Amino acid sequence: MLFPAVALLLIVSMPARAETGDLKIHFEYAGDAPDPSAIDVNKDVQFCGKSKLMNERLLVNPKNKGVKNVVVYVYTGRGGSKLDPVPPAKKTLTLANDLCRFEPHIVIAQTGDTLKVTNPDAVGHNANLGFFNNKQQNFTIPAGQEKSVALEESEPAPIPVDCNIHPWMKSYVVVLDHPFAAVSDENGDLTIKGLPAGEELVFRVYHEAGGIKEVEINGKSEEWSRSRFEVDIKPGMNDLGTVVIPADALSAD
Amino acid sequence: MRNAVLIAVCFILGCDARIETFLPNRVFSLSLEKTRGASAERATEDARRVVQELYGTPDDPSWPLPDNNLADLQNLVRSSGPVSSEKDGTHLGLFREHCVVCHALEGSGLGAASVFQNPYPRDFRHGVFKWKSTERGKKPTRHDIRQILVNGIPGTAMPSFALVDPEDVDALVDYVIFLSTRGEVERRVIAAAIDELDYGETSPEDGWELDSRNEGEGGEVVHEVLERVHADWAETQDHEVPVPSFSDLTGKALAASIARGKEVFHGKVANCAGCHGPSGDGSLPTLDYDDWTKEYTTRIGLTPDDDEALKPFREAGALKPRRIMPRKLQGGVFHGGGDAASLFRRITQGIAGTPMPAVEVVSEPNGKGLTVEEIWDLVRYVQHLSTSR
Ligand code: HEC
Ligand code: HEC
Repeated sequence: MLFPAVALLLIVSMPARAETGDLKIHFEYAGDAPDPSAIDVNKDVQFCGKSKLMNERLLVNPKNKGVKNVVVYVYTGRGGSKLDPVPPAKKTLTLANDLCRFEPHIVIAQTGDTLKVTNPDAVGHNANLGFFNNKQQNFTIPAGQEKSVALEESEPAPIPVDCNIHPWMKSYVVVLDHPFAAVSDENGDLTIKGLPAGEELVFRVYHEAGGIKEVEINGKSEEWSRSRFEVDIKPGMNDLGTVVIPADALSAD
Repeated sequence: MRNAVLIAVCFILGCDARIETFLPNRVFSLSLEKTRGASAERATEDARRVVQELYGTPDDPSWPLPDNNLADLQNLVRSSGPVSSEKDGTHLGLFREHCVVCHALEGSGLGAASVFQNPYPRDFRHGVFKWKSTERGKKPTRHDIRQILVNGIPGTAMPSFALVDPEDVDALVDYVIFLSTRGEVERRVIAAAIDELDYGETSPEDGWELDSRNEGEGGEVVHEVLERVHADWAETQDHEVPVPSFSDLTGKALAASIARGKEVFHGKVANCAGCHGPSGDGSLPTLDYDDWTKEYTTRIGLTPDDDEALKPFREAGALKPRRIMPRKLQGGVFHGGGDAASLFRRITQGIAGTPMPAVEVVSEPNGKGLTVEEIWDLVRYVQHLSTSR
C-alpha cells in the first residue's frame, strides 16, 4: 500500500482485467561514487589494451549517484507471483565481445529467446555459460564470428558468462519465463513495462556487487527481505520513487 | 607417501571407527547466503536430515529410488563403513581404505591430504567431472569412472587402483556415483529450500518444510531434485561423444599433418595458443580459477586472495583458492588420456569445470569451427608436443 489515495481512486474506476501498468524505480547509492578500478590487461595487450577497461562490478554515476545494472524482475518461484503464461517472444538477443568487454553487461531474456554471442573483435574469445537449467557450455568464438544459444529453460538466478581467454570479461544473462524484468541505466533508472495491473506482484532485486536488503524509499526505511518486495500494480505508471541502497550493501571489488 | 598419510589418518581417527553422519555442505551454504541474501542455516539443517533419510550414513548407506542399475546397494555396503574383511576375504570399507585421505568421507575433496595437492582432489558433490567420454555438461559413464580408477590421473595426485580387485573397483565406481548423487541432491535441496520454499531466518509455512516423503510442497521440491539428479546419471550413456575414425599416420604424412595441426593450434579459429601459449609452452599469464573454486570466490564477488573475506569459507573447510593454469603441453602429461579419441573429446567438448572451452565441429571450413580432419591434425600436433621439450 504505497499510495492509498491512488488505490481508492482505482477501486472506483474498476480497472478492466486486461489493463497493464509500468513500474518505474530510481536506484541511488548512499555512499560516495567509487572510482572503478582499471583492469590489468595482461592478455592480447596490443588489441585489448587499446581501450581503457574498467572493473564494471559497481558503477555509480558521480553526477547523480544513480546505480547502474540493478536488475528487478517479477519473482514467480514458489511463494512468488502467479502470472498468466506469456507466449514466448522468440527474440534474438546479442551479447557482443566488444573491445574485450561484454556488451551489454546484463542481458535480460525470456525462455524461447536466442542468445547470439558475437565477436566483432580482432582477437579470439570464448563464452563460458554457467547455466543451471539450460545446457552448460563453454565455446570459442573466433574473431569476426558468432554463435547462437537457445534459451529453453528459465534460470533461478542471473547466470554468469565469462571469457576465460580474458578472465576480466564478465557479464550476466537473466532468463525468465516471462518478460517482466529490467536493468537500471547509467542514471540508476529502470522501468518494467506492461505488468498485469490490479494485482500485488512480488519482485526480486539483484545486483552483482552485493545483496540489496535494507533500503530507503523516498526517505523511509524499508526491509526487502530476501531481496524481494511487493508492489500493488495500478494501470498506467507506478513510480516507486527513489530507492537508496546503503553504501555497505555493495562493494566495488 | 599415500600409505604413510593413510596410516597417519587412521592413527588419529581410527580406520575402524564408526561414523554416524555425513558433514553438511557448509561452504555451499555460505555461498548461497551471499548470493541469495538469506540465512541458509535452517535449510542446511533440514536438508541434512532429509538427505540422511534418503541416502543413509557413512556406515549404513541406502539408495532412495528403484533405479538400482545406477548403484547396487550391496556394492555401497562393501564400499562404506570402517575398513575390515570378512572370513571369505571380502574387503569392506573400501572407500575409507583407498580414497578418504584425499576425497574425505563426503566426497568433498577435503580429505586430510588434500591441502598438499594441485589440482585439489575432486569434490564429487558438484556432480561435475573432467575426464570423460560424454558431452561437457553430462555425467561420466560408469566406464569412464572405472577407467579413472584403473589408470589414475597421471600428472595429479590421483593414484591408479589397477592392483585393487576388479570387483572392489566396481563397488567403488558405485560408491563414487552414490557420493556424487547424494552430494548434488544435498546442494540442490538447500538451494531450492531458499529459492522456492521461502526458507530463511524463520521456518517456512506449514507443509513447506523439506520432506523426504513425496508429500506437501517441501516433499515435492525434494523429489523433483532427486529425480532430476538421478535422471542425469541414468541418461548419460545417450550422451557419449561419438569419435570419427582416425588413421595412424607415419613418416611424411604424419609430419605434414603435424605441421597443419600447428597452424590450427595458432590459428584464429581454434586459438589454443591464446591460453596454452605459443607451441603450448604454457608461458602466458593467467588469472583464472576452476568452477569448484569460483563458487566460493569470484562467483559471489569475493577476490580469491582476500584472506579476510574468505575467512568464514576457509573456516567452513574451503581450500585456499589456487589458480588454474592452461596446461603446458610441451613435454606434458595428459591427465585424461593422450589417445586420439580422448583428445578429440577434449577439443570438441572442452573440459567441464575448467576454463578450457569447446571447439565446434563443422562439415566445411567456415571460420566458426574446425572440420574433423583439422581436429585430427590438431590432435597429432598436440600428441607431438607432448613428446617434445
Ligand atoms: C592421493 C590423493 C587421492 C586419492 C587417495 C584418491 N584420489 Fe581421486 N582424485 C585426486 C585428485 C587430486 C583428483 C583431481 C584430478 C584433476 O583435477 O584432474 C582426483 C579426482 C578423482 C575423480 C574425478 C575424475 C574426473 O573425471 O574428474 C574421481 C572419480 C576420483 N578421484 C575417485 C577416487 C576414488 C574412488 C578413490 C579411491 C579408490 C580416489 N579417487 C583416491 C586425488 C586422490
Ligand atoms: C580459455 C583457455 C583455454 C583455451 C582457449 C584452450 N585451453 Fe586447453 N586447457 C585449458 C586449461 C585451464 C586446461 C587444464 C584443465 C585441467 O587440467 O583442469 C587445459 C588443458 C588442456 C589439455 C590437457 C588435457 C589432458 O588430458 O590433460 C589439452 C590437450 C588441451 N588443453 C588442448 C587444447 C587445445 C588443442 C586447444 C585449442 C583448440 C585448447 N586447449 C584451448 C585452457 C584452455
